[in-house]
Amino acid sequence: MTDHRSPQETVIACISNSVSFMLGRGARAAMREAGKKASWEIWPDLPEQVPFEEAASVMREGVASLKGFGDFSLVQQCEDGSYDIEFTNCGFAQYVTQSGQPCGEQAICFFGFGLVEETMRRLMGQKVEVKLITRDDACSVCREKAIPR
Amino acid sequence: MRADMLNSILTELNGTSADIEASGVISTDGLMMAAQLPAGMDEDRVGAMSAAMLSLGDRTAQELARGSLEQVLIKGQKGYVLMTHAGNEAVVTVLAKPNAKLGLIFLDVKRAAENISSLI
Repeated sequence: MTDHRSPQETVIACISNSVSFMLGRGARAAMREAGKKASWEIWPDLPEQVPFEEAASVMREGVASLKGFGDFSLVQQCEDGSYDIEFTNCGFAQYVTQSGQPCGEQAICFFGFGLVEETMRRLMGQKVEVKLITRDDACSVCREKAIPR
Repeated sequence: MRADMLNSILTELNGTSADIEASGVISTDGLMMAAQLPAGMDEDRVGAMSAAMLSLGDRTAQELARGSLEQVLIKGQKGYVLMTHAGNEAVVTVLAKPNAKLGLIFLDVKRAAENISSLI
């Protein structure tokens, strides 16, 4: 079978799978923490206490600037206080075969959740937990929710 | 509501022994569900550490043929960290003083973990 992944993608898959092997479900916690740290490393200077629209714009442009990680959209704030998120062409979706885990349950997915959680906290001052709600493989869209906690 | 009940169990646990300095209930994904922690301690960091350590303990016990994991105990110069499962979805973490009587604490933590497990 031919592997079409780039060397970088192979490295990411190997790291994620090894951490998952060693830590089991605890890999999610480790990856979430890594995502939170990455928020500060990637975007050291973010505005604070910004309204929803500005946060959505900053995050969309920020993720786009990473190139290759997909298109992030903070869609709306719901009446219950949660936020709808759509992530199209998520770069981590390609690892599901090797990880043996569906989207939203791979350890590497929790890196993304941690990244979004920390970035939203920094931008809007709100602690949230991000969860995958549905994955639409046909459209390559992960629909997620950021739930205040 | 559930957080209040979890906090109530933790308050009771902390009250069972003067040797217990802090405690928390953490989801296996590493998110803090309830905590009685000292001021200045980062809840998120404690949560991530606890979930990761307990999972590593699970894996180690499994790989080294030690059977199902019962607890993870860490001893430092300034005291103990004790972690145990509370059902399949949560971890109980307790910080205790260096001269703590561990036998009693093990019993109290086990009882608290059972109560927490029934709530989650």
